[in-house]
Amino acid sequence: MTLKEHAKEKWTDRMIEHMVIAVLKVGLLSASGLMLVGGCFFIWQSGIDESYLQHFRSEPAALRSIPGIYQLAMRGDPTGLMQMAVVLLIGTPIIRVAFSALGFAFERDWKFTLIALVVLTMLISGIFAGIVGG
Amino acid sequence: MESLVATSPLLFEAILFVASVVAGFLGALTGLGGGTIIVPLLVLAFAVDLRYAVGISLVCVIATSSGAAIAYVKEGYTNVRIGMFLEIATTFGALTGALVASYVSKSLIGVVFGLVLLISGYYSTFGKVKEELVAKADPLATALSLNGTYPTPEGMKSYNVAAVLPGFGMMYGAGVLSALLGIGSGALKVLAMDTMMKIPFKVSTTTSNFMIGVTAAASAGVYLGKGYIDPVLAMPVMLGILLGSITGARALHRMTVGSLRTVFAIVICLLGIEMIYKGISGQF
Repeated sequence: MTLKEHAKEKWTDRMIEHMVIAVLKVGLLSASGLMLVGGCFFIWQSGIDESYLQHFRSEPAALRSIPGIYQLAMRGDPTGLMQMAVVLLIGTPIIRVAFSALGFAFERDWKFTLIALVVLTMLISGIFAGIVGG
Repeated sequence: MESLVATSPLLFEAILFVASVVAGFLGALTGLGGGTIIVPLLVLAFAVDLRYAVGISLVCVIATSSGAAIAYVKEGYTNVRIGMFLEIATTFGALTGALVASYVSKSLIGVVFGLVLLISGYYSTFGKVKEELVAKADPLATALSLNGTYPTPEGMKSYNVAAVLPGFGMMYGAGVLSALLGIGSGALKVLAMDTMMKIPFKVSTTTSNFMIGVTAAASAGVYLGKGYIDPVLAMPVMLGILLGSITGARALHRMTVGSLRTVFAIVICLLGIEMIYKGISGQF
């Protein structure tokens, strides 16, 4: 590749980077906002007991799967809301990869569209693998 | 301090928040990730179980990586192709590591974590940036369009990528380590890219920062399903790290970080020694 072709590719790369940053900002903002809300609900409760943190037992099933977390969050359960925020946070790099895949497809770089999709698939399957693997 | 968790949980959360802000701030300035302070703090000071701590550390890494990413001014160093290609290895490694994590003894994890802290601290102080020589491109690198250019004071310089397959292999290892310890393995990635693959240092560090969040997300997904990530723990840590790392990244170009790095490195080494001691004496 010539330096000129590199420069042109860099321009599209930069455009995608700007989009990615915008997506990241939205993702992080919503995750933080949700965490703040959930956190406030949590603190407002009485009878908070965190001693379980010193002896490991796995989290309750509802907090381990996305549907479960979503349901808890919709009911306004503080831990559900906070865990949902964590899910959003975990999701931001995943969305970043998805946008990279889109960007490569836009540039008609099919090799790297495929590479990005492979990474994306592994990322998404991780969440399911964890639940199954238990 | 340990009893605070049971007796004054809100005070515990407050301390954790402040510590996370500091950790995120220092992490953004020194490149020594989010979890390096939080994990030892949780485990050594508060006797929180290591499994929960490692889960939270992954949350830290994603928060640090994403926070820094939106705050750093884009200078055109990151090579997304190299990053994405190597991600195949790191993500696969992270999935492998996360799935077997529950079978690895906590003592071993504690000791290895301590060792990584020591090595990180050492390299942070004594690691030298090598002379930038343009290497001969690995044919695989050319076939995959991995070679690139980056801005220098003298204009755009091109570079070639060498040793693609060994680099790929090392990235797999970095992924496994990331999943087992809850770290970003950023230093390991930079090492592989800079030393093995002969990629210019600034490209290596920025590309590594792009990668660590993705690797951590892979492990975090598995850990979430396994129930290692606790939302109550995540709350102060995630908010604190985001605040700290975004502030730190913005402050970066206004600060000289030389002595700060050294102090941080010393602290890290001390924490590392304590972790190793605890691991060897079976206190995990």
